Amino acid sequence: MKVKKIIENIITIIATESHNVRRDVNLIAILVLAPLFYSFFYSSVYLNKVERDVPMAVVDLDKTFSSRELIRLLDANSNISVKSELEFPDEKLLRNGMVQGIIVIPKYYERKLKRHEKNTIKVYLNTSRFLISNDLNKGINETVASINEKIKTSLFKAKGFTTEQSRILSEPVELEIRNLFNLLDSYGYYLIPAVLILILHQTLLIGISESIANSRETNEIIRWKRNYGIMTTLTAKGIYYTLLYSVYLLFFTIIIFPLFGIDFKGNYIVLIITGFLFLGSVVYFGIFISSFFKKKLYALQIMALTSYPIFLFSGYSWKLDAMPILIKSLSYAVPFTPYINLFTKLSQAGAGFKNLMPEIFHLIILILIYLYASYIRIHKLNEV
Amino acid sequence: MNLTTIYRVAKREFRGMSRISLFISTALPLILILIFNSIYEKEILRELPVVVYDCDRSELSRKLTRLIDASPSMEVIDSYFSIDRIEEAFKDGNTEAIFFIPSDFEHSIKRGLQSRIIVYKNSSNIITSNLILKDATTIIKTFSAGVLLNKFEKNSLSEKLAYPLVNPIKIETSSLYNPNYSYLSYLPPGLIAFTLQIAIMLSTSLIINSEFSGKTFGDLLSISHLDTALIFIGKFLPYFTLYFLMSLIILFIIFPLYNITMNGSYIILLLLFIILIAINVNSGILISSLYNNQLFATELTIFINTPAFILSGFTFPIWAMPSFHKALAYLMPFTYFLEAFIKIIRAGASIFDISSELAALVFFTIVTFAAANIALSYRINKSIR
Repeated sequence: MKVKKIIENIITIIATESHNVRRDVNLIAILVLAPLFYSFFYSSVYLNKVERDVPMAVVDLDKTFSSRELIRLLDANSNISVKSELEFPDEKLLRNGMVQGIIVIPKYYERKLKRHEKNTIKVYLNTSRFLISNDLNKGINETVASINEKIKTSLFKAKGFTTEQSRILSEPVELEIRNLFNLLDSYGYYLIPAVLILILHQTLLIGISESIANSRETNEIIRWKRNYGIMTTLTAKGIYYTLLYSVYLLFFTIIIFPLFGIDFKGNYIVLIITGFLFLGSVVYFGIFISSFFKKKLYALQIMALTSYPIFLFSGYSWKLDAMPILIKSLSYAVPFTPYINLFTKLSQAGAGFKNLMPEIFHLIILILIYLYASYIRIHKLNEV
Repeated sequence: MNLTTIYRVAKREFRGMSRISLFISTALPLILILIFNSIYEKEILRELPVVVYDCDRSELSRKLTRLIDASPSMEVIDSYFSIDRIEEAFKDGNTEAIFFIPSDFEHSIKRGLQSRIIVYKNSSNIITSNLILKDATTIIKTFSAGVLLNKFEKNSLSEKLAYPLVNPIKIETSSLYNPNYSYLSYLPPGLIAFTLQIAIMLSTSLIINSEFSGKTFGDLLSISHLDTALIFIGKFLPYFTLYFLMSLIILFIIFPLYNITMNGSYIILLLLFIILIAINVNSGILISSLYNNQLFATELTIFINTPAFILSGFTFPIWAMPSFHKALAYLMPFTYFLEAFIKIIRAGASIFDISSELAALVFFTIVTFAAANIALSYRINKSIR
């Protein structure tokens, strides 16, 4: 009888919450429109996934067939676009961003090549933006390595070896790189999944915060305790928002991922179960945080400022071990941290429950802590 | 008379700020800025866990393993690894890369045959993946060159003569503006500017509509004698001053505190910050004059501002974005600000080097100023009617 009553109460609260959300334009914007719009908008920024044709300039002090061949090969590399030829390495072009690098081919470049003398080309790189300078550097190194390879091979061929023998002799140890999970080393492939999870985390956090702050503004919180009890209300809210956002989780992995060429290698049952844990922990985290705000405006303002720090200290872009202990502790307290780690392993490596246990335990602990903390907070609010 | 009125409006604005509003507009952004700097305080990623799957277990393979372990970016956590565990190691997330050394590694090299090292790397994180690619390439190329050099020397060729044969063209790279590839010098300055912008917009997008929600607009009109310009200046100045002081704290306390190098002129930089603050306070007044609903005004501010950092081209170049995003990026003042900001602090750019960005920012200042004044005037007239 008691269980039946609890279930009835939970259904009533879910229906009320759903009604409240549908009636509130601000909540509709945060909980419905924002996840849909942002998922398309942010993913499409990286539609081209990799950057190509980084502009660079060349100073050719040799002006021979070999130096022109080097320039042609540099321009042919997909990462590089030779925009201009200069008389001297004019740093002004780097400073004002016209080019991202300048390569200087020295005088007597061809003569030194032919005489097998020490030959050095100088590269000036603008390293103020890492992705650009990395790609340019990679392109230059690949081009020069291929020329070096040709020169060494021709040297051995001149000594009577066959082409294949020469190739082997010129490079005794060969390196083969096999990319796992992000075959093209693409920035889009790297960032899109994390951005999608961040959109879920932040819109849910903001939505919940607005909803709870609204309940405080309208004294609805007092009615909760009187009519249904705190734990029943918290459970019902948890179920409602978790179910609502599970739909987005599936939508992102089934529709958005293939649309933008991202693979999902995981098992959908694992996705759903771990997704419940993630969304549940975000709901209670949101309830706990927002219980400190009397106005939903303040809740919205504060939550809006947290998106970038939550992403940056999650360990997704910068290793957690490299962060100070205080930041690391803060990071562990946010559900995004364990889940982005879990989601990356699940979606990219196809990890199963066994591999995801540390993150699953982490999420369960966060749910329990924030559920309890929310209970205490709301209990105290009622006393006031 | 006018100055007294402006002073009264400004004083009223300061007094009207609640403690939590002050916290959100000033203390919270500063806390976030400290967090951004602390995240990257180690500047460079080091000792990423890698595994060596050594099937050869020879002297040469151990030498190669030691070279990998000695690299600053990698730490060998396991060198006697089982092939069955390769997939599991990546699924568990314990390693960033696995170096596979074949069983005939030393034998092949000694017999003059080619040997192949395979590196399986977790490229789902492009930052660690690029670092491993760079260092793995350097290590293997150096190792290979060493073997070749050894071979030439055995054929009585001196190192001086043999070296150009091993490495015919050498690249000498000068990394300008951030030579140590420090993440602390790279990311936090952009994030700090972005945090400042969003904080300004969040607080100023409520400065007119809050008068309506607090039913104090009539009082404001009577103090200002219905003069749009006086209200505008009186509302503009407190926030401008507040955020100018915050910019000074950022440049003269936070930057030196975290050793963020600053290569340009502080005067040009302050001029740039003044323009950024002016544009954002203008935009805030515009939004708060147009929309009475404070919650909606805040949501709109968040909606407009959140993509600004991503679209600025700071982390992913604008030229690689689709046309629609490219157009949006160029419609955002923050794109020009950040471009100029980075050029000044990193490359020590002069005012001439940033002239195009400066021109765009001045244009945005004029447009937002005009739009904010028109919107405020409309709001005042509507209220009077």
